[in-house]
Amino acid sequence: VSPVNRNFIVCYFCLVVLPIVSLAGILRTGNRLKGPVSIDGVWEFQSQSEGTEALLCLQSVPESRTVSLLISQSGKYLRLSFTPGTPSIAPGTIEGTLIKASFSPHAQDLRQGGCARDRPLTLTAAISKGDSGSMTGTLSVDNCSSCESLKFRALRKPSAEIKRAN
Amino acid sequence: MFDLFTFVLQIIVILGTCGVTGALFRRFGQPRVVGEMVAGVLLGPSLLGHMAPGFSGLLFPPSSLTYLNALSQIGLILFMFLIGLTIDLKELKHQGHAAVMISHISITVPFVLGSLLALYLYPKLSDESVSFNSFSLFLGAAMATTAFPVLARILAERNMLQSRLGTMAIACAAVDDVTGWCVLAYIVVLARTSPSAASIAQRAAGLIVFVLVMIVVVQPLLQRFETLYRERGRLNEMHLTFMLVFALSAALCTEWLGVHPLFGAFLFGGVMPKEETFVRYIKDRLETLVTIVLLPLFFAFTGLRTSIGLVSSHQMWPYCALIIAVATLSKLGGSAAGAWLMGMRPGEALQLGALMNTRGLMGLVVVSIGLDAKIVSPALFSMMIFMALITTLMTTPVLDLINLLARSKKKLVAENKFAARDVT
Repeated sequence: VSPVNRNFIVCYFCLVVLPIVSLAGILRTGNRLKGPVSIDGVWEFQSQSEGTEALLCLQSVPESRTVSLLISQSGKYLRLSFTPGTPSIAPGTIEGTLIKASFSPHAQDLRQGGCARDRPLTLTAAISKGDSGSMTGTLSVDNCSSCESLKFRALRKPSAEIKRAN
Repeated sequence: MFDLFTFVLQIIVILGTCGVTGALFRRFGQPRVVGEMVAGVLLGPSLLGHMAPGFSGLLFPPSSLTYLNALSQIGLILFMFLIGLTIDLKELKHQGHAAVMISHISITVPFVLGSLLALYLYPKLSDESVSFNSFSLFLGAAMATTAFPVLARILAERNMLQSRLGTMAIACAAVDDVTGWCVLAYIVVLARTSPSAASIAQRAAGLIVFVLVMIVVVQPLLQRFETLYRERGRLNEMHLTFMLVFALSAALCTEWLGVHPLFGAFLFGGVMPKEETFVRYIKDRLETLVTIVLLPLFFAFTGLRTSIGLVSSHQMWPYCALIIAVATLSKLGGSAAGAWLMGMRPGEALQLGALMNTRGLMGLVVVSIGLDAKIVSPALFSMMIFMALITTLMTTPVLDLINLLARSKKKLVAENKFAARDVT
């Protein structure tokens, strides 16, 4: 083997073969990682308490007892919105099975005589253990001692059902 | 229901915006295609949807996007056929050991570093519905991509196509593209099939049989097109129609095999005859329609799915910056290191690295496949679109900077020589 070819083989081994071999190690390590629970999609939002302050903040949520909660998931980062409802999108996160999101409704989305404009709504929920298709939680008005929290339950709609609806 | 008025209006707005931004970017020394990619993002929720949500909703109602997507996918299939047609791996033989080494390093280094980055990003930007293997291999493949057509255009605009650097870059990009598409085909099989080893093996076997049939059976038959062209100096409408029918059928086969239609179209282009005037003839007939009309629709459709809002929070920008940094350092650095080790001058090696770092349109295509296969989340999709845009945008300025540094270094060396002669 000429010195030029030897150098080529050494370089090829170090910069091509070794990285490919290390890829197997990366994949093995990665397979032990656990990603956040998948909650992306449409959830049927069912309030479990009657007309509370929290819902009075928003234009359309209180009109019907059942609305849809849209969750767009990018890993542990979420974007939640109600439909029919406000165009406000709440950024949120999921840690383990706990969801936390904060809505800051635009002035036009607020109901007259409802909550004050500078009071965001906080949604906290927990995914049911052993069933990532349902969650229970509360929707509450921040910094409002007189406001009652709204308890809710949400069920994930199967993707086939969503496609049919579209 | 199909609304022809809205659909035609969408096409008018998309083509007009792409035309204006493309011309604007050309004026700033960037390839036109970069301007068109940016136009797509501007028409989406990042700008138009943010500034005028009502108008955006009227112009691009969600129900109408199916038609826009269908037409853009046809455009992409034809585009991938043209890319496969242009790539001639026999060219690699003329480049010797160096091209093999550089191209392989320029794939493995970003691929492995991308997969390594997946260890950090998977728990944050993915979820349990995506397997780590699909996620990490996809991230690696997206980082290893090189935009063969954009690179060729940049080289042509700088009169570098026939230079040593130009031919080397073209050869390496061709190998990168072929390897990248093979890896991507495997990842899509992995993501689309049930996790059982038997079903993955079944699809992989189907794909291998398809590739073998294309090479052993179809390739020799396609020589007939070239013979006809050589004899008559042109191909009639029927020949061109059959060529397109075959390209679309190949795309359909790979879709049926559970891979992706683009892979079939690319492979069909790859097994077409490579005689230079024949390739030019076919490209002349298809390129205008594909690049001027159909590709802008793909840019717009990609832009409509890209939202700067998903990346704008203080938590997301660091991830986006990290992805761009790893993509740039691994591709530019890996290719440059390989070229330098194979005896290229440092300046030339860096220029090659900068050229290989151009992801452009191919980056967009790869990332879109990832979103469709649900391997990447919407936020990661937006970040990777930015990665593809920024790495393409930086090519021309980085090349200019390297040239400037090389010139000033030459000048300095010449001045030092002159001064040394004066002293002696």
